[in-house]
Order: sequence, then C-alpha cells, then structure tokens
Amino acid sequence: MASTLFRHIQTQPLLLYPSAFFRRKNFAFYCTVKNTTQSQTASRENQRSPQIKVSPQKQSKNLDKLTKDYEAIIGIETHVQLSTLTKAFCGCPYNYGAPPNSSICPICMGLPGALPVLNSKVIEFAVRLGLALNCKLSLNSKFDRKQYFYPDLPKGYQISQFDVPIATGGYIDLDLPVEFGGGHRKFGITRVHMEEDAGKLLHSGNGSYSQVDLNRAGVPLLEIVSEPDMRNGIEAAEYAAELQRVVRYLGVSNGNMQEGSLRCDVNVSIRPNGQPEFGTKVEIKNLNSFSSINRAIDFEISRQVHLHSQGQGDSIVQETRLWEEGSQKTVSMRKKEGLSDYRYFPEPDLPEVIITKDYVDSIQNSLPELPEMKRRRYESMGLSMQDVLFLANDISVADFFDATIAKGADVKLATNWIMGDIAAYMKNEKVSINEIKLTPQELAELIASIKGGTISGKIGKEILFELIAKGGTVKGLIKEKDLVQIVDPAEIEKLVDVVLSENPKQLEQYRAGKTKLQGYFAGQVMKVSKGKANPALLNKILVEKLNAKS
Amino acid sequence: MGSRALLLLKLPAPARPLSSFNNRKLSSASELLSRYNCYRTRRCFTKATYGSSLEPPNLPRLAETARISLTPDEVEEFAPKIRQVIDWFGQLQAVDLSSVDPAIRADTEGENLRDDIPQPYEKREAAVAAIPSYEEPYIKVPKVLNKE
Amino acid sequence: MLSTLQPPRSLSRFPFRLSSIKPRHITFAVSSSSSLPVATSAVTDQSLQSSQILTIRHSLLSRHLTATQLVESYLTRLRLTEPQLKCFLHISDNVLKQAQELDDKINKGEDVGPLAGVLVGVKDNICTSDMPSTGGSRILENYRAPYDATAVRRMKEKGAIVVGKTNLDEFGMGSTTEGSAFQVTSNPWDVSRVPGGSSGGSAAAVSARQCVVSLGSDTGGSVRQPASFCGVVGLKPTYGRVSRFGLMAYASSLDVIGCFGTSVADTGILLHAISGHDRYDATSSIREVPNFTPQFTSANLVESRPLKGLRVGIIRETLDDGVDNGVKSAISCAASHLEELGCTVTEVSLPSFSLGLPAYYILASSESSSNLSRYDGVRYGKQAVADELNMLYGDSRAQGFGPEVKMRILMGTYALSAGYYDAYYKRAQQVRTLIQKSFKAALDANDILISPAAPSAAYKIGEKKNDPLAMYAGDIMTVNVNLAGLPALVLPCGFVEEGPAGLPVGVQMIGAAFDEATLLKVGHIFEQTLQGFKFVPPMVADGAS
Repeated sequence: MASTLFRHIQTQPLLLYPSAFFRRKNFAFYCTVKNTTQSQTASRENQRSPQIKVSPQKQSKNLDKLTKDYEAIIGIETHVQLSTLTKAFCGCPYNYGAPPNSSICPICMGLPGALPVLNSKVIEFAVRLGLALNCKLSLNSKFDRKQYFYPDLPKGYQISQFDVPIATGGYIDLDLPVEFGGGHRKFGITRVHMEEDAGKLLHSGNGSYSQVDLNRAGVPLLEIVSEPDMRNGIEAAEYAAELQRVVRYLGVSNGNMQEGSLRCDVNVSIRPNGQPEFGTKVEIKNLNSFSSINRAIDFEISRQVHLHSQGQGDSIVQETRLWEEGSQKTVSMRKKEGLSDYRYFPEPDLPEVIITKDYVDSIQNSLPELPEMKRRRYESMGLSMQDVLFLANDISVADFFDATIAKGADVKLATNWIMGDIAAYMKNEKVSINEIKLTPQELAELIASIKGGTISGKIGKEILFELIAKGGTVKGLIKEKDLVQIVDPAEIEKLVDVVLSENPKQLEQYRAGKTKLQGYFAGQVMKVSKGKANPALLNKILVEKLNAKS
Repeated sequence: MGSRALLLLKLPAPARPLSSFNNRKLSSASELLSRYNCYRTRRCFTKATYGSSLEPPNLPRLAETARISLTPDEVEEFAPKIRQVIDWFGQLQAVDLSSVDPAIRADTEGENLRDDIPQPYEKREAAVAAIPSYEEPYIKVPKVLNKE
Repeated sequence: MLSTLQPPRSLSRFPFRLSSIKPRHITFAVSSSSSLPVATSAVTDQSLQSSQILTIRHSLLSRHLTATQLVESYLTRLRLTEPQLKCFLHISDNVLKQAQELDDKINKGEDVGPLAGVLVGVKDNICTSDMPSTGGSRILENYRAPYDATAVRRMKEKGAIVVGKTNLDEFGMGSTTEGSAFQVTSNPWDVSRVPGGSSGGSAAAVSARQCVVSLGSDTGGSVRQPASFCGVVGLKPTYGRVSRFGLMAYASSLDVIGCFGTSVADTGILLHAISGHDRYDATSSIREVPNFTPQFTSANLVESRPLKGLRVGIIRETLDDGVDNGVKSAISCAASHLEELGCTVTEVSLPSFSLGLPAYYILASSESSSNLSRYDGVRYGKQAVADELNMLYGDSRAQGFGPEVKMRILMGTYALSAGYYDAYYKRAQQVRTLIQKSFKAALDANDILISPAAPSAAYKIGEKKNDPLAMYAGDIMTVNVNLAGLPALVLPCGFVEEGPAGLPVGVQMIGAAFDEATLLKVGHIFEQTLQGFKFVPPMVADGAS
C-alpha cells in the first residue's frame, strides 16, 4: 500500500524528520502525541511537532483527537560497538568491511578448549560512558552467560552482564531541535553493561541456506538501556542522536548507525491518560537511522491507538515488530508464545571485574567536555539555541569553534561564518570540518581583519573560499592580492573624481535628478578600486561630490 | 560394592523447617531484576517458586531447548533417570543457606586482563579446515525456521 | 559454626576391622621383555630410585641408553598390552623420529629439556594439533585442533614426547571410561575391571608402563579415582595452577589438568613443567610455581621420623558405612604409616561434607550444558544432514553425543531454567561456600587431610552402567576437593583382596590452596618409606604375555 510521505529535510546536519503524514487505507492521519514528559522547561508551549500542511483529502480528525487521549511510553535499548583495536575476549583485530571470516581465532570461533580473556580497554570505555551518562558505577561487577542457539553465536552463549552491570541509574540531558519546538529533556538511563557482539548471518537469495561471517563475533559492545521516559518519536530520535554525540565525544565508538556501530531497538506501549498501569509493550527492530526511529515510533503509536480505540486493545500483543523502510510501517516479525529463557548464570571463565575508586576518579578527570556542558556554555555566551545545537552537535565543529574564539574572534561572527559559508562549503563538497584547509587561527584572523577594517566584508567572503579550499593565511592573501581596504579619504576622492570625470553623461543625469545613479557610480568606483574601497566612506564622499555644484 | 556406595548418598537432617526458606528476603540483585524485567521483552522473569515443589523436568521441552533430537525410546529411557537425579538434587532445598554467599569458583588471584593490542591468529587455515560446510569465505548453514 | 572439630582420637580406637593384608613382593625389572642394557649399578642415588623421569635423564645424558632404545622399549610394551587394555584412542606415528632427533641433540652435546625422552600420554579432551582430539565423543571424531593446549605446549617445549591420546569418558563425564564413544579401557590389574574415570586411559597407560607419565583432567575426581584404581600416583593441582586453555571444558569452575606417574616425584616434575600463569586463561593464577624437584632428590629418608610435626587430619565422613572395609583398612594402614613417619594423625569432621555431591552434580551438569552448546556441527566436528538449522543442531548433537552426556546436558538445562536457578544452581554455589569454609578451617588446624580416593577398589566393567546415582556415589571422596579448588595427591597405599593379584587402593592427601609442595613432600616420603608393596600390575611385571 503506497503511503504518501511529506518529508521536511533539514539543512542542519541533524537530519531529523518530523512526524510524517500518512495515508493508510481510507484515511490519512496526522500524528501528535500528547507530551507528558517530566522536567518540562518554560519553552514547553511550543511542543507540538510542526504542522505539515498537506493538501490530501481525508484527514481523520477522529484519530487525531484520539491520540491526544493516550500517553505513549517509549524505552530504548542501544548497542554501541566500541572502537577498541581488538575484540572483547581475544586479540583479533576488528575492521569494518574486512573480508568475511578473515579475523577469527579459536576463541572467537568457539573452538573446543578456548577461553575468553577480557580486553582492559573495554572496562575503560564502559567506565567512561557510564560516567558521561551520570551513572553509578559498580566497583565489583561480573559477567554472565546468556544462552541461546544461533549460527552467529559460536559458543552457543553470549558473554554479557546480567544482574550486576558495570553502571546503573544515570540520566542524559538533551535539547530538542528548535524546529521541533525545542525544549530541554532529561531521560533516565537504567543501566549500561558490557557484552560481546555476535557474528553476521546473511541469508541466501532463495532462502535455502544462510552464510555466517564471524569477523564481528566477539567485538565489544556496551548496551545502554533507557528508562521508559520518552513520549514520542522526536524525543526518542533525539535521545539516540545525543547518545551518538556522547560516544563520539568520548571517543569510545564512531556511533555510526549505517555501519551498525550504533543500534537501537525501541519499546512502545500506550495507555489511556491517567491510567497508572502500563500497556502492552511492543519491541521494534530494524531501525537504521534517527529518522526511522522517529517515524517508526509515531507509526506504532498510531497503530496501537487505533486498535485500542476500536476496542481491540487485546490484539496488541507483546511481540517484536520490524520497521519496514520501504512501506513505512511496522510489521509483525513473529508472534511468540511466552518469552525466551536465556538461562543466565555467572561466567565461570572470567574473574569479577574489580575497579577502584581511584581508577574511576582518574577517568572522570580525563573526560572531555560533554555535549550537554558545551551547550550550556555556548548558551551562556549569548548564542541562540539554534546556533548552540548546530555548533555542539559535532565535536569537530565544536572544537573548531572553540579554537577560533580562543584566538580572540568575536563569538557571534565566528558562529555566523561557521554556520553560513563554511557549512555550505562542507555540504557542497561533502567534506568534514577537519578536511577543509581553513584553520581556526585563520578564521579568527579573518574576522579580526574585517572587524578592524583592514578588508571589507565582501572581500572577506571571497578570500574565505580560497582559504577553505586551498589554505594559506589571511595576511598572506591580503598581501598577495593587494586586498587592503582603502580607507584614506583622499585616495577615495581621487577615485571618485576619476569615475565622475569618465562618466559625464551620467553625472549630468544624476544632477538633473536621477539620484538612483549613485549606485552606478558606487559600483564603478568599486570596480576601479578592485573592490577595496571602503563602502561607507566611498558613499559618503561620492554623495558629497555628486551633490557639489561644480 | 555398588550398593554400599549408595549408602553414602544420605540426606542431611533438615536444619530448619521450610518456612524460613519461604521468608527469605529478596536480595538486592533480585530486586534489581524485578524492576529491570518490568521493561524487558526478551527475558523471562525469574520468579522462583519457593517452598512448593518445582515442576518436574519436561524432557521433550528440555531437549528442544538444548537442541538434542531425542528418540521416543531415549525419552522413555532417560526420563526416570533424570527424574531420579533431579529429586536427589532437591535435598539442597532443605538446607538453611540464608546467610551464605554463593561462590562462583575457588578464589583466583589477579584480574587477568588483556591489553588492547592486535594479535592476528596465525593458524586460521587450520581452523577453517575443520569447518564441515565451508563455502569460501562463509560458513554455510541451512535456513532458519525459528529464531530463539 | 564450621570449626567444631571432633576431639582428636588415636587410630587404635577406629571402629572398623582390619582385614589382613598380604604384602606382595614383586620385583620390578626394567624392560624385562627385551634384552636392553640396564643401568643398574649406577642407579643407587635415591633420586633416581624415586623418579623415572630423573632416571631417564640420567641414562640418556650418561649415554647408558639412547632415546631410541628407551622409546622402543616402551612402545614394545605398549604394543603388547594395548590389545587387552585399549588405553589409547590414537597413537602417534612420530615417536621414534622424535627419539632419533633427541639422540642427535644429545650426541652433539646440545642442551635438552628436563622432560627429554619422557613419553607422555595425553587425555583426549586436551587439544593437540598434530593428533586428533575427540574428547571421547563421536561429535569430534577426527577433529583436528589448530592449536596445542598450553599444558601440552609447555611439556613439549621441555622435551616431552607425546606418545598418543588416551581414552576417557565422553567429555570427562563418567567414572569408568565406559562412557567413551569408542572403546572401554581395562584395568591392568584385572582386565575385566574398569580403570576408573574419566581419565581411565591415562591412568591405565601409566600403570601398564606404556608411557612414563600422562596428563589427565580432574573435575570431580577424574584423576584421583583412576589413580587409586590403577595403583599409580595421581596429582590434582589447585584450581588455577595449570592453564585450562586447550582443555575441552566440562565444568569450567571445577576443571583442572592433572598428572599421572608411577611415583610422586614424577607427577611433581610434570606438574612443574606445565604449571604457571597463562595469559590465555583468565582463571590461571599468577602465583609463582616452586620447583619441586629438589625435594625429591634431597628428602631426608634416613632420619627416623622425617615428618615430625606434620599434622594430618583424617576426614571422618569418608570412613562411614558406605566405604568398603578393604579400603578402610588400607587407609588405616596409611594413617599408621604416617604416624610412624612422625605425623600426628587426628580425626577431622567436615560439616556439609555430604552436600558436596549433589551440589557438585548440579554445578557440573549446569556448566557442562552450557559448555557443550558449542558442539553443534557448524564450525567443527560431525555434521548431520539437515535442511533446516534446528534440525541440523538437533541431529548433529543427537548423533554425536552419548547417553550420559545427553542426560547431563538435559539436567543442566533444567537446573538453569528460569525459575529453577535459585533452587538449584544458586544453592549449589552456596553449598560450595560452605565446603570451602569447612576445608579452610580443617586445613588451618592441619597441614594435610587424608581420605580414601574412592569407596571401593575397581569394580567390574558393566556393573554400574545403568544406575546414575550409584555411579555418582563413587565420587563422594573427591568432589568436595574440586568445589574447594584445593590440590590433592593420590598414591597407592595398599591392596584389597580381589582380582587375580589384588586390587590397589590409593590414599588421598589434600592440601591447602597452592600448597602442592607439602603434598609432594609428604607423598614422596610416604612412598619411599612404604615397605612391602610393589605397585606394578602382573601383566607388566611378568613381561606381558
């Protein structure tokens, strides 16, 4: 069933999709879900997702109204693949995209007699992330075996942490994007624990057999379980985006959803407003981008609301559904009777994970400034929320910005340059801020040069392009191209005189009343001065001369 | 000689009545589990049935869980033996263990961690040679009908 | 609550009858079945009398014997006895070549390792890259491990020659080797009887002098009980002393690799060669391993009471009604012998002792149900024909595993199931704590503890096959030691009057964690001063008909 979608793609790198407009069967509906999250800030009034005005015919006002009667409860389980050099329990290196089964050994293959030995970096990364998520760290945690049979799980069990995870009871702060109404949120983190990844299972074309690649088996993961605090797709998507920011800031993972180094499964349930009991929750998998998180949740909420409102609440069963990107809906994967029993028991091959308070403190002290802190700092510098979110979203951009203002550049100007021309260049050429040739030093220099009057704003823009593409120094370029602004009135006078004398007709016309020609003259002077004339001064002198009666 | 050995399998005298077993306080791990399990779809909540007799082993279901295709003869042969052993295991229920910590293993010393330094395995070919169904570069398995 | 020991009682008040033991005087001649030069006159040094390994070293280095001659004599005996005994699942075809290489080295005056020329049997659940490793199971028939177990590697680095892989109960589950998928090993003392298990092949091979020493594994007594049944020395080290990397896991928190030898000294020398921290085993201990060899060469045997001051506790719970009288007498004699050597022997009670057996079986079957999940026919081993994945798993495992293994997996799966974990597994872990504490208390008050290694001597093949509980009952003497992770040494101390030539009985000595040195010292002196017994099976002593 084709569904009609209207997407509003942001120019910002956040790439969030607002609630989509669906057509399904005989009705089209627009999803809004009442927001009842805790810690609402004053900007709450603007909560509602942007209205997408669409022409289509049937809009089910009934369903729209209905969703307002329900509260959605959303929780997210995120798996973060750590960027350690080696796997969790053996010395095999891990490289995304390596030839299948090229990085394996007896341990990660689950050969008879093989034993796991923990990579110390995994503990370090886990502590870092736990601290960044404001969790309480368990100084004494352990591993457990989670048992099930599947071809990508060589030992027939996964080494994970069950009842004593390394970190519990934290929270994450984030700011919703301005275009979605903005607002600060704080979502709880139930736990963070260490575990190993399974291999990859690929299904053959005709489905009669499958293929196993064990390169990924044994790669370390951190599983982050959120409290069920999110209330709609935007909040969930932003939570995931913030986790991505955090893991990138910390350097524990590249947090790439397409590569699979950041994976999210969401749990969605609804309950009528005011009902204390939770409804049946449904798990959704196969979410490969933040936008699919957003859309899948909103879809699922509508699905459940619709069923519930028709009195078919019972047909909402606890199950796992897959998000289908093509058809933009969740489909039942498989209805299961009962739940899986993983027969957890403590891993006898691994000693307890014991960390000292000193160790934790030393990691705490070495944490970089996290996104939340950065946002608050930028806010306090007087930047608008939109600017704050843009700058703080990518740690490289933030670092560039910080370096630029550290050289004394004006905050607002630096922001404008970065968000404007520089961002545009990056987008067009598809490069990151680390790849452009412009350095923060030079950006600061540029800003200072313009501010100090050495060059005009227009000239500034021109050399910016060259600086970005080819590098070089501001001072160098100014000198090389002779770009210094002309601010000497006498010199400008001379130029104006030249232009006026070369354009007697226009002068006559001007003096006869065509005052619009001032622009023409100004342009000519600019041309003659190769753009270096200071515009303000130029116009002042020009006007004087034009209006002089001689 | 065999029968004499069986004399060694005596049950200890029950230290306390079963009521103390029932009133055992939930450990904090169990509490954490119960809160955590509220919101987990994949894991069955461990609701231990204290005191009352646990359900006897359901052999066909256990065999399915353990991925062993038992023949009906085997089921018939194993069931009483397994039942007998499980009943014998049950003698631990009668012991008062309320103040005893579980021991995962004997004390070992040191953390025994690895550094994050790559060590590619040199004998990959030998390991791959042992794979029964290998279609370069993948391990081949038949299709899956049910995922656990 | 755990340290209420009974007041000391002297042995004369033990309430069991002493049956009359007739010491057998059997002289042991080296290589009686072939006329080889025997270095008899030079072997007067005490160390050489007590250690075959040291004797071999001396003979080779002094050129009294070549490695080739030595190895040939063992291989001859092996070939003669193997059809009856069936100790080996695989025999190396590379042995003579290694012996010749060793001779070359010696002739060139090059250094050779401490185990040079020593033929070793390796239990088939320990991985070797140049020979199959089956674990005694069809599911690994013809499996070639791509790597050597750490213990094997270390042994080979010191010059040992692996003569072959020995028979065992499948994956270590059993006490007789009747659980092997391939063959049943016979006891060299009476081929109608079991050698014990699960390391029955390793024990019998050493007993029959098919090899000098051998490696086994001990999860619940699988080195100690066969040592007792076969009349050889079996050493179970402390958990974590020897790396488990390469040992096919049965119960990870209980498994250890152990040593068999014809003397305490040999097991100690072998243990030293394979012990020590291994970066591939996170449960291996970083503790230094003392060199045991000096104490075998310098033990004071002349002094009248060389073990004066040593406190020995005899475990009361191991001398109850379920134990054969013959065994009780042998232990009693052992206790007397220790007293003669100067020890103080008192009775010790270990509370919770009898809980150890069900706790052990819960833990072992639970852990093994998990450890054996990897045997699914996908990455190695026997693969059944199936066009659906779960059928592949189910059939490969059904066809590959024997009945005992299947039952243990099913029991373990049950014990770990949701709702049952607290009732079984967790309780068993708690019992383990109790047992650890009770041993610790007893070993604070005593230097070593002693008990039988098994309630009886070797029983007939087929006798216990169908009654699991009867089979499990035989482990009562040994499992608690595994639960506590302690070291234990079993050495022959007497006979019972059964079988054509009597059946040997071993005494188990248990030490404090990582205190193998004390065990070896006591065991060595005990062995060297024990009069009137020669623990060589008739088929070997009589030249193997």
